[in-house]
Amino acid sequence: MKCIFLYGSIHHVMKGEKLLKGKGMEVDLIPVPREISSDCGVAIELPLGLKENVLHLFRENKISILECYIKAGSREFAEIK
Amino acid sequence: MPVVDCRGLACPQPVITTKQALDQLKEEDIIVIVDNASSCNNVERFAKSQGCSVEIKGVGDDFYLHIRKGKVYDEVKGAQKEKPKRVLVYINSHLLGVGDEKLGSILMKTFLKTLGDLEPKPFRLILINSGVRLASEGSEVLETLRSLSEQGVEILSCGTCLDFYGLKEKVKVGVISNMYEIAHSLFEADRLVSP
Repeated sequence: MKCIFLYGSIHHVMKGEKLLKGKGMEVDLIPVPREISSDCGVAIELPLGLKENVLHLFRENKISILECYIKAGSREFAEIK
Repeated sequence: MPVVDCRGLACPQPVITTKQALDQLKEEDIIVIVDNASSCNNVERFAKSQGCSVEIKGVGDDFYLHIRKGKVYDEVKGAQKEKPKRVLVYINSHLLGVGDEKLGSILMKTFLKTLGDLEPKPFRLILINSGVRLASEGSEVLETLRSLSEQGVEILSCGTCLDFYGLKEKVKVGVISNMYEIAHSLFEADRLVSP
């Protein structure tokens, strides 16, 4: 299972990706699925197992996340509050 | 037999009116009347291009075109409707847009991923100049390109470009192509998409 992080700015996405890849994490940049948002944007997708660790790293490095979703099916997403 | 009177109409109206008549009328035969040679030629050429037979009679200053639809007309129309548009995606850089490199790389990645969600799929994707890096070892979009390839999208990398970047032995998805095939692809496509 994967989870998806949405950000308020492409700069946060790039900073987040750099940070996580630097830690050797398996992360991927994806276009924000149209089911979640109609805005143009890029999101970070990563294995659900890494979520807590990543949230912690983001807090530590002051990278703010807008929203977080679990990818339940190929086109189904559940928001985590 | 229906008579379509196009006298007094300026080009290309006689051709448009003829087309509408052929599309709407159930009858196999129609007569189209025009009042000048150029309209007569245009209507004749159009009707023949649609698989109809045409007989022309001059009556005074006018031309009477007897157009027979026959079976061929519906077949030609059917073929035009059913034929899917062949969309070619032409990528001439590993970056999308002009500006920051890192941003360009992200945009290209998300563009290719979005292609995977779109229907209909392009029939071919051409990678040229630094675009060939996308299909070579170390590229971040190899999985995305593989998935497109599995969905029937042909991926062609320019051989000269691979040679230039020293990537000829490192192509991981698609085939190595040449300028003849690339130029031919550009000409035979119904629509060209170049992000």
